[in-house]
Parts: sequence; C-alpha cells; structure tokens
Amino acid sequence: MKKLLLVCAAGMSTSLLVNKMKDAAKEKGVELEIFALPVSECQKVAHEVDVVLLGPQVRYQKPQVEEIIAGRVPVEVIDMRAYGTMNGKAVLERALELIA
Amino acid sequence: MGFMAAFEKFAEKTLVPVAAKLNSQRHIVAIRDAFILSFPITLAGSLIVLLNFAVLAPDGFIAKILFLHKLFPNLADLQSVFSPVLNGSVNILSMFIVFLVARNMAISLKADELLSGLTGLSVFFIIYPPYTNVDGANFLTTQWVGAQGLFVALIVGLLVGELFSKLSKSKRLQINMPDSVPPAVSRSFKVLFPIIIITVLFAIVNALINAIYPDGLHGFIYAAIQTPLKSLGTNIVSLVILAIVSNLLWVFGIHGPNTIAAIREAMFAEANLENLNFVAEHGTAWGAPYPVTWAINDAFANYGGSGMTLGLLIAIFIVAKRQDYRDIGKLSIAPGIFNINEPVIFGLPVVLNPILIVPFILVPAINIIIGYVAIVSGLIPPIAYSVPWTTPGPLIAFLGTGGNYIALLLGFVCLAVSTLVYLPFVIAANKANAVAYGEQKSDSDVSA
Repeated sequence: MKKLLLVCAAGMSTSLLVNKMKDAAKEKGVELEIFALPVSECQKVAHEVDVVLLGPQVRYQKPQVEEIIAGRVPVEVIDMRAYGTMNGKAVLERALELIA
Repeated sequence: MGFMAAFEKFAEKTLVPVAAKLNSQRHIVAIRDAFILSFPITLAGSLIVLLNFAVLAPDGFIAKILFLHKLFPNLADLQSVFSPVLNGSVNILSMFIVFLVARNMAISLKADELLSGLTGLSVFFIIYPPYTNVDGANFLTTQWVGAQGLFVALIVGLLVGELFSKLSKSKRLQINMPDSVPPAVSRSFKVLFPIIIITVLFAIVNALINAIYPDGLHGFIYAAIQTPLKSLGTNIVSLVILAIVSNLLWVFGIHGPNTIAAIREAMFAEANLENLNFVAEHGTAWGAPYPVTWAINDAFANYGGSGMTLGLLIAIFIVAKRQDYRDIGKLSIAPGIFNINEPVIFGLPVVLNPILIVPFILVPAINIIIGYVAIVSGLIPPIAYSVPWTTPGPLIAFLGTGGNYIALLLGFVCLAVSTLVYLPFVIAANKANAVAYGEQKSDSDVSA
C-alpha cells in the first residue's frame, strides 16, 4: 500500500486535512495510508513513504525535508487555497499524480 | 495589486529567509523541540495544580459551584495525593530540557541521540552545586532542577550535543568492537572516549568557575543571562512586539508562533513556572510574581488562533455576503473554537490579503493591552494557572485566573472588541472582491 506523509508544524490542522483526504480516498476506492507528522519527526518514516506534502505554513522547511528524503520520492508544498478550504479531494488527486 | 505584489516580493526577500533560518537553525530547533516535547509533562503538572485548587480545595471555584466540600468533607486531604505530580513535572523541568536539547542536537548532527542526551544530563549534575551533608545524609538543592536552572539546561544541552556529535565522529576516539560483541555493548564503547572527555572537561570548567564565582555556574548563568532575559520578556512592550511579529509572520503564510517559540519559551518559561508554583503554594492567582507573561496573549488575544480570528468568523457570519467567505466560515468554526485557524488563514485567505492583515495584526495587540490593563489595575488576577492553548477562548481567561468571573466576562468583552474591529474590514473585503470573485472561482475549480 502506498504511504502519503503530510508535514506541518504541530500536526494539528494537517490532521484535519488527513481526515478529509481519507474520506476522499474511500470514495474513490483507493487504498492508501495517509498520516500527518511535524517536521521534527519525519526523519523516522522518511524511508517508507511514497510522497511527502508540506502544509503551506511550513513551506520554508521544504529544503530540510528534501534533504531528509534525498530525492527518493516527490516532495511538494500543498496549494494554499486547497489547504485552506480543506479540499481533501484536490490534495489527494495531486498526491496520486505525484506518485504515478 | 501592484502594492501587494511589491509587498510580497519584499517579504519573500527579507522575512521568509529569516523565518526559514530560524526554523532550520539547529540550535534553535533543538530548543524549540525540547519545549514542545516536554510540554505534555509540564501540562500534567499544571492540570494537577488546577485540580487541587479548583476542585479539591474547599474554596476552589469548581468545588464551590458543585458544593463538593459539603458532599465530601475530606476532599481537601486528597490534595496531598496529587501534589507530588508537580515534583515530577514542572519542578524538574530543567532535567528534561537538558536531556532533550542534547538529544535533539545529536539527531540533527546524526550522532547517537540517546547517549548524547544522557551525557547532557550527566554534565548538568557535574556542574550542579555540591551535596550538603546534614546528619550523615546527603542533600541536593532543588533550586536549579526546576525553572531557575533552565538556562544552564539549554546551554549545557547545546554544548554537550555539539561536542558529543563532533567527538563521536572522530575515528581516532572510537573503540570498535569485533562483530561478535552485542550491538548494545559496542554502541556504548564507541562513544566512551567522547563521553569521558566531555564530562572531565566540564568538571574542570566547573572547578575554575567555582574558584572565581562562589555561587557556581548555575548561580552565575542565572544572574548573568536568565534574569535579564526574563525581565526583558515580562513587560507589556515585549509582549505586544512578540505578538505583532508572530502574527505578521502568519500574514506571509509562515507559522508565526512556531517560529518565535524558542525565543518566547526562553523568555517566559521561568516566569510561568514561578507563577504556577506561587499558585501551588498560596492557592490563588492574586499576587502571582509575574503578572505579565505570554499567558495574557492566550487568555485574551488568541481566540480562534493567531490574529484572534474567532472575531473574524463572527464578523463573517454577521455581514459577509460572499458565499466563499461564509463557506470557509462554516468550515472553520469548529477548529476555530479550539484556536486552530489554518482554514481561515489559507482559505479566505488572510495571507497577503491587503484588507484583512490590518485587523489580523491590530486585534491581538489591542486585546493584549486590554488584558494587561485589567491585570495591573487589579481588576483581575494574573493568568497564573497554565491552560493548554487549545482551550476555547474565554475559558483560558477563566481557568487561568483560577476561576475569576470578571476575567471570564473580560474574555467575552475581548471577543466583542475583536468582532467589532474585524467588521468594517470584512465589509470592505466583500465589496473589494465582489467583482474579482467570479473569475477566481472558475480559476480555483481548475487548479483544485
């Protein structure tokens, strides 16, 4: 199963989006593991995820995350508008595009 | 839009790189994450204080409301059951911090994190004031393991983390065991020399400092660094400046509170813990030693999250005609009650919104000053009980003051003030974007 990591400051608001994305995945019939972590903890799972999405509020930490991931999988900042509107479907689709 | 574009360009050139530096600089990250990680434990201590003095004490406000002391006359005896939690949490915070900072440093420098943390703790006690012998038993002062030792903990954590990581990478200092030796054993041998060097080094430094300054390293750092920084932090000007900087960062879509966390914690941690200890001793927030702390921000100026956006949401429900505003409002109200507001900030958005950034920065500053005036004028006691920042707005003021009803009322006044200040800006934003909105919607549909 593909693993999708969302990164933000404390994991609070991102976990909201994670729930929306899980709903969207279920609706779409895609099997996916989606979870949120603060940047400080993403090292631990870096080797097992298939894509990393950053909350726009921590977009300046992208270089740090990219260093951890070391080009293995795609790293991208979530679109502000999609994040703000908690548009789980849009973010999920973008993630699937990145994995594909 | 020309002005806004120039403004954004300016921010991306100046503010964003600074924020990025602050958030990736390993010493700052190590300090910030140490406070984040120890937070649940200090929170446990704070909740016990709240439990002891609000519920179990006969004159506690919850006890009074529920007539608990009439139902259970011996309730107060239970206080002594729970108060040791304080001894295992906030009263030994410096021990957690020194371990965590040294550990975090080793993580970012890719060294053995656990042993780095332990070495930090070891050094913390190497430079600790020596035992005093009373009637054949040895005693260690508790003075520096809690709030007052925080700076030593931070400095030792950073130095040990740095030294440990550097030394343990030196091939000449490693003792490599044959493969047949269990990994746990060879792991500790690998860093044996670095640990010996660090501990001996600090023992020598400690002896030298003690020779010059009889109060020792702890006393020296407390007087030379921690006390000045604390007095710098615990005044209204610093408080307002910190809030403005934090909210200004959000305007550019950067997590403000997170970015200033290391500085903020360093300034206010001791004052917060001293306040909590005052409450634990006296059972009241009146007369707490540090009336001006960051807690004022949480109690009066952070409802809904940064920028006090609960006021913005209410303003939207009152006057907004734009459907997207009302939709975001509905989506944001539930997390907003618990002071989480990324949907508002990125959804409306507030980010780089030339109209909304004005009240977003103004409202918290106004409300901090309202809270400050109420406290220094003696209308309400200081916010001495620590309450988690995710507690719904006015309740932070109520619980933080130990159940003061005027503080609760003032919380609602602040909420009304924030709504009133946001109202004209929401009306303006509605008018300004009414035309552009049609285009924008079809736009976001494509990208979304």
